[in-house]
Amino acid sequence: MHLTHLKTVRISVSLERCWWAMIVKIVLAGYGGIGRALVMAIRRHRVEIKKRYGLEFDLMGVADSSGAALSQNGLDLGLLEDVKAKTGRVSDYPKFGREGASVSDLLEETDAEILFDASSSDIHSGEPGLSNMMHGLSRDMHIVTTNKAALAKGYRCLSKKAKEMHVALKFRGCACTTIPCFDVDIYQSLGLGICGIEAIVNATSNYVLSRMSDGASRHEAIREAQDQGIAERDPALDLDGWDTACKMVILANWLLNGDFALEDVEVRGISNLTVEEIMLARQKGLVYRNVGEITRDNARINLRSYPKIMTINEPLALVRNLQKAILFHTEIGDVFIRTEHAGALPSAYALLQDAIEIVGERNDR
Amino acid sequence: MTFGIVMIGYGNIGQDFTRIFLGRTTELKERYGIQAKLVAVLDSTGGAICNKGLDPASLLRVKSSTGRLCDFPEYGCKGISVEDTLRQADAQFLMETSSTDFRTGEPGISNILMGIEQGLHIVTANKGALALAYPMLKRAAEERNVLMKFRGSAPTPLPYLDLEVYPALGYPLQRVEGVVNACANYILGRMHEGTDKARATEEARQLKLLERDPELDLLGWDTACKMVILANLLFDANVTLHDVKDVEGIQNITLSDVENAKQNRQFLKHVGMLENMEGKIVLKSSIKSYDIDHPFSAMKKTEKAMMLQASGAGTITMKSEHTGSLPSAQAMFHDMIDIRRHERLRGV
Repeated sequence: MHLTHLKTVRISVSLERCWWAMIVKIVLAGYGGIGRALVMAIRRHRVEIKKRYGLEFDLMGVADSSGAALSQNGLDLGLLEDVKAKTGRVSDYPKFGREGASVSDLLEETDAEILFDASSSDIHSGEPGLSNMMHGLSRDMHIVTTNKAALAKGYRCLSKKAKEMHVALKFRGCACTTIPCFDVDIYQSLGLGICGIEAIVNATSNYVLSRMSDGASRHEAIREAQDQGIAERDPALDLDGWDTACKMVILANWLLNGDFALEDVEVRGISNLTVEEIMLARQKGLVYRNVGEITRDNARINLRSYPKIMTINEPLALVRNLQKAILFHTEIGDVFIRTEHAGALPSAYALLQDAIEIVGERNDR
Repeated sequence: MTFGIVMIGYGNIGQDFTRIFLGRTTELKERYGIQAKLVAVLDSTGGAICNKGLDPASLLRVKSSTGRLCDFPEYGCKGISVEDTLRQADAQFLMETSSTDFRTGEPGISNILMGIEQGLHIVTANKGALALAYPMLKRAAEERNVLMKFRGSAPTPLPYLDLEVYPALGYPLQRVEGVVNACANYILGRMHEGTDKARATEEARQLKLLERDPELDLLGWDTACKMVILANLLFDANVTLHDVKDVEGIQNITLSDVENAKQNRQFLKHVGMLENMEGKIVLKSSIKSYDIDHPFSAMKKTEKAMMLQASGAGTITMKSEHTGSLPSAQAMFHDMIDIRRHERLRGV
């Protein structure tokens, strides 16, 4: 019988408006905060996604640091969530769990159409995400990712490979959680004319600076951030400006068609800034913000990540504590967007939206 | 497959749309799988029709040299009606950008209905038609199984917002507030600087911020219309201007009101508001005071701003200086991309 055909189009007997759904097979690399939020979103919105977009995501496999769970017939998302909550290891998934299996195994053993990369990578090498994504592309899979380190490192070769394979690479959740709600790349390709960007895209450093200007010591501020689960145990990447730098590289390569690497960013963290300096500035009506900046002078594009001093009524000065924001300077004026901290959810929805768009854009193959 | 577009109205939005078209054919095809051609374009003199596709550069040239599309070489038709055009054109999309009328909604409403009747997807930026007749237009589109998109009619920066996954799945919206009328915002802003209202209004007139029909700006109706559009766009509320019960402009605000607010470290703003009260959307156009460090207070006089409160995601605050026809034209393109995605998802 035509089993393959039955797999792609399944007749649904539900009373939903949509009678049939396109089944899209996916695999997930990384099952931390974002991965979990994603699985939850897919499970929770299954009916709505089917109704609105006529498609259903079928998760064939997922990998975390313990190994993988992999089934050709799709995993049970509720069960997966239970296992992860109970043991913390997807390899404990009954029957289909495999200790020590890797993302490569998922890619080799399934014919998934989309690889969701929600893992994290080393900021300098971009690994293991970069290799995983290259592998996925060579297996003819579309990629959606929130792996900023891998993307900052390998955007050029990833996008080249994607073009070569005629598959899509989308990453709206990478640059920062402010962007996903803004379809910025569409407008840029329609002539938005972005000529510069200033952004507060790192929650930890912004929180620490905000609290220090309220009079808290650096140490207290970092502790608070850690207690709230925003700051890493080693907050150096955040406080030294590397996380922000990474996001600027992605934005410049993506929106300004640049070819930048992390080394091209002028990076200065907030670690040397003292409470005294911050207070002194405050008396003059000025505040410090840890800003990522992309400026253009003639043909040259400059990337910086540094504590910027500004007057208190500037848009970025109003971005406090856990808020994030981006200010786009465009040919016809500024656009400013500020969002509030919402955990891993925005990134998960970013992945979901990218995937839905891909299904809606890909050429009928 | 290459899609045919009929465009009705060839003012600034239509011409900007053509310019976008002109430069980006390859990019649109590669990035979004969009292949399209303009098969008919109408202005008040008639139009040009060619099912093989009209050359965008020639359209712009004819419009700028004679101002009349019916002068288009070979394909120009003097005085041709919308009905005849739709019958002759081999098209899938109707871009409705005719001039807007807030009292009658015409000719936008009739144009859209005729397009729907012919089975075309509708993309429109026609505020008047949408504010007055959205529920009826939507029903007609549903019955004919076509899509109607209208983010280009929403004030910037809203069209930039992704309207798909976030509001639909992730973040159910609870409340929207927006400073969306440039004229009222300018006048109030100048009053906060100590200028009296008459003078500020005159300045606004000179800066061409005041509409031909000043009541729209000064009595709050423009904001009310925009909130109706937003209610339909963001909440699928199915409302018209008649559903806005509470419309107040800046007519009653005096310099001393502004001074009193300032003494309490507050700013008065003219805003539109939408609130989701257990599924019922309440619309308002009125004056509200904001703390001095609120993003609405810190905005430039020429900016528009919006706050969207969503459960589970806090508040998204956006503002922009973008104005004029280019953002609307881009938004219409965005709608077209969206419709194509939908069609592919539905296997068309």
